[in-house]
Amino acid sequence: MSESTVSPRALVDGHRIGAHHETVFRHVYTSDQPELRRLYENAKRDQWNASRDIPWSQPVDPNAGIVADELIDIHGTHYWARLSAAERVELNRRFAAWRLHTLLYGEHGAMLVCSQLVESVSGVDAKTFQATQVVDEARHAEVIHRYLEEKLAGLSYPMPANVRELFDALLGDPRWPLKTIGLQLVAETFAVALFKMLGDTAKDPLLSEICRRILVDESRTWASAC
Amino acid sequence: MGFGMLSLPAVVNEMTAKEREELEDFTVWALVRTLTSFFPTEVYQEMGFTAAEIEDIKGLRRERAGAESVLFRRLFKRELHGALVANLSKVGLLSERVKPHLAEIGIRV
Repeated sequence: MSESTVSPRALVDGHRIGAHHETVFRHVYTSDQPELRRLYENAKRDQWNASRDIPWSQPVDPNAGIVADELIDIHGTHYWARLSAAERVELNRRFAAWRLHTLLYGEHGAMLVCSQLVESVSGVDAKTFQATQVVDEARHAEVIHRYLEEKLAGLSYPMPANVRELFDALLGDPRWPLKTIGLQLVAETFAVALFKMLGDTAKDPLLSEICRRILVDESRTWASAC
Repeated sequence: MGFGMLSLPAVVNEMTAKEREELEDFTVWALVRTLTSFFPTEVYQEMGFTAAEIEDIKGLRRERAGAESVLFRRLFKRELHGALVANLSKVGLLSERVKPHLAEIGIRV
């Protein structure tokens, strides 16, 4: 087995995206969209603290793997059969770290897009609700990153090309409907289904708890809208 | 999610045909990138699999995608595809232009 192939420099530098969009600075503060106002109130009510509310002292069983083996593409094939028990656990850990990195990049990207939406949308309720979305996505990125650092020994994987393409397009385009469709209808819908599956099937109870917490945030915004 | 579902239907409804087509095309582009492009190449490399084996694994994955045998992976797909179709329909983007593209990436409408 080789070490992770990620260039530390690339991780530190990240990348930059040229962005230009119109910022709407309204001077009217009367509530104009009651449904979004309710989502804003619910978001304030349901904030949680990733530092305090996750049982970080709970150890991860080093011999059990992190996610369900069935999520790994080679499970049930001759490639899986030829691995030793220890290699299967190691593959599971690395697969889990890779999958969580895709979600980490997605949550970070979501935070950036939501921060642009705070500027771009016009109503006061839309702006304040989007501001809570920025905090939600920041917390999700925080909790996933901490899990990777503390429970998966900081295993690192680069941002997948498709994630970068998607978020570069969302962040670089000035149109808020396009940002909203790409982020909420596509990326978040995918992430929610993935968090649900990971949470329901993870071998590590701490990862299940983290997924459950994130899904509580997501369901808060879905419940009122769908 | 809540913001989009509450705000987009009216906006999409008021768009010109050209604007709506641009949004539909972008939606398909984003779906293809999100649903068909994830593969943990680096993980298999680190575990000592050869380039040929990794290509073979990609092929196995594509075969499996057509006939998913693991129950919870099947449920994941059903739930994901159901949510995508319902949401696209609600915001007014499940057009006759979009439907064939969804079918191409395995989403039944």
